[in-house]
Amino acid sequence: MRRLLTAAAVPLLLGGAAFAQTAPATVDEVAQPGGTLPDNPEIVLVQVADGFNDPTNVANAGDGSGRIFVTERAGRVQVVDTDGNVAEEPYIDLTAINPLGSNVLTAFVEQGLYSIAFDPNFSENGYVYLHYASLPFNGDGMILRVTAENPSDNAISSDQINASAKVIMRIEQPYYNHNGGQIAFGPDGYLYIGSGDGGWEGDPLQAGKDLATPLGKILRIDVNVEDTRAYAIPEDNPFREASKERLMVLFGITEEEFATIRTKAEPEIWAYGVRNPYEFAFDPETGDLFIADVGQNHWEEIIYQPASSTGGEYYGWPDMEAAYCHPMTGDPAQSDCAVVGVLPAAMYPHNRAYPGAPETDEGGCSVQGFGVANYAGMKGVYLAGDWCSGRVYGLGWDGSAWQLQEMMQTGMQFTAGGYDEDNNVLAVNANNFYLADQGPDANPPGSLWRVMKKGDEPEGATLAKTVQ
Amino acid sequence: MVARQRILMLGVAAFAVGTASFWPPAAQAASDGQAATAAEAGAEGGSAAEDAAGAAASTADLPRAEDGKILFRDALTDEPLEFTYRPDQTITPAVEEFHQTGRNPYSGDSAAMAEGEKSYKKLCQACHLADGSGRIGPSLNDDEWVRARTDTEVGRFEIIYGGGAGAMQAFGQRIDQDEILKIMAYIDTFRGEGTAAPASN
Repeated sequence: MRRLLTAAAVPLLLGGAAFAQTAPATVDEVAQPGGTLPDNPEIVLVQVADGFNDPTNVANAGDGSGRIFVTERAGRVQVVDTDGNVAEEPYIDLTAINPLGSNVLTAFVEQGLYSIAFDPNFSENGYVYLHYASLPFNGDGMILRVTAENPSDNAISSDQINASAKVIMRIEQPYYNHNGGQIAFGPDGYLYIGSGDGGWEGDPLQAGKDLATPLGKILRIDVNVEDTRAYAIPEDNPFREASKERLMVLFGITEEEFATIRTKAEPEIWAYGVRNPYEFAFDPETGDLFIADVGQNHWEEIIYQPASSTGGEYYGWPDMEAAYCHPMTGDPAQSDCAVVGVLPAAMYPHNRAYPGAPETDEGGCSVQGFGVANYAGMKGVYLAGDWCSGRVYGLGWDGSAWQLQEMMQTGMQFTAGGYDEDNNVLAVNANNFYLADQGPDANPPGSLWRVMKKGDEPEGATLAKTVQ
Repeated sequence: MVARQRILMLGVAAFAVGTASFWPPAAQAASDGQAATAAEAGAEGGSAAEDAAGAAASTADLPRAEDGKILFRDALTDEPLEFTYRPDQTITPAVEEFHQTGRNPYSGDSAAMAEGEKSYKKLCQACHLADGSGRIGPSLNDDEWVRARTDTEVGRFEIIYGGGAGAMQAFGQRIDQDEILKIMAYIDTFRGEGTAAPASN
């Protein structure tokens, strides 16, 4: 069984199909802005620390230290203590491990150090995992493991990084955008990887639905293997058996059985048909998975995958953009198009919801997920920010339907989020928009924020400015 | 002071009602607040409406700080805007004049607009497009503004300098105020303005 709570989820599904928390079956069931979460929770963003250069993600070590680790695009990881103090020296500095220069490519604003994940046994083995655009490998996505000599240290030296570096995976990147980013361990102990469709626009490689490429996928691997191997394929990965070479038997085989043969499928694939899953997060209480899948010209989407999933879902890209057929050619209400794959739980529009649509101010341009809140009046609410509109949305299940509620609108350009050790939801914002990018160390700095219940903020705390 | 300012914006608020655009931040703040004062102003009689009609041109009526300079406001929160970015920049005579009058001295100045065009292509075009028709950011080529106050040069300056929502960052962190005024002069050309001297009514 994949996740701890699978057994509990099954009776729920059997007992009350109409009210089970599940992915929408029809377009009408996909939540859009304007919804109301149960108990209408009110939150604030409290500044934990500031002065980060293009922060791209945030994580904790799970070692009881309370430390928070912020990745910076240039290739550095900064460590924040429980009082919000940022250590003077970076925890990890990938710009200083190669005598020929930085090891991280940041030439395009979507490139750089994407994320960090700590091994579930970090306090014993010191394993730290990083995902970044490699400069020596022309921007390929490098998933690297380094080992902290002493897990309680506040820095891993360049020498130690080089001495301990183990390449887990290198994902070839054909274009400079849509590199995905998030890596995180699931409740099952496997490493999940958000892998973008490779870039350009419109998925020219049709990577999202091509099982022969790791691009446009959520990958799932077992890194708990001997050091002579990079990783192992979990036994219950959905295409593990399908991808095996085998002897051919033509007669006495049902069509359904033939359909399980996918010899070109990459066995690392957990789910497919995502465009740019820069952020995803597991609900710390239920193990449910939410994926913030960045959309193209018209819609952003948030995917829900229940903890009971056995993987293999097709989330539609590039056949679908959120709940509509891609490419969009006009008003989807006028189009006769069948839903392909599994629909997202929620979606919100760009300034034009389809070609020729009137301008709207309901949404944004790029969804950046934070994490799932089980506090502050929220139960299983996935919080996500938008890179353009500065909005913060909460996505939750109200007992019979998905609700997408705008929680606040800020002046910030959100890039990502994560959790502290108490499972409070964190967020980071940067100031590095496309043409205004002056380089990862030259843009105006960004900050680290913690989501708190409105009214619970400490005295004197700096709160995010919001539309009043 | 705040109430006075809102009354002056009456005409603009009425104009903004019903417009829809990508960039909302102050939209709700501005139109909500101003809608309320619109009713108050209406109750007071017609003089406020006349003031409002002439507000854009009649800069003497703009709200001012104690030092007599224009009182700029944060587009997101509507709180007073503080000029703390880039403290080492040169405050040019044009910037000084703008803070005094609320009128962009570069408006219609072809040399300044040419410089503004260069900056626009570097910093603004990715979101607002080369012709100002907007994509990620709202359109700039018509007279419909999400934030009512953006109908004025003061309002446009506030958003560019102090930022709005999300990706509309505080460009005052990146460029000097003088450059912002030049960009504003260039942006005027999208609406067919700024090609001649400012109207004098």
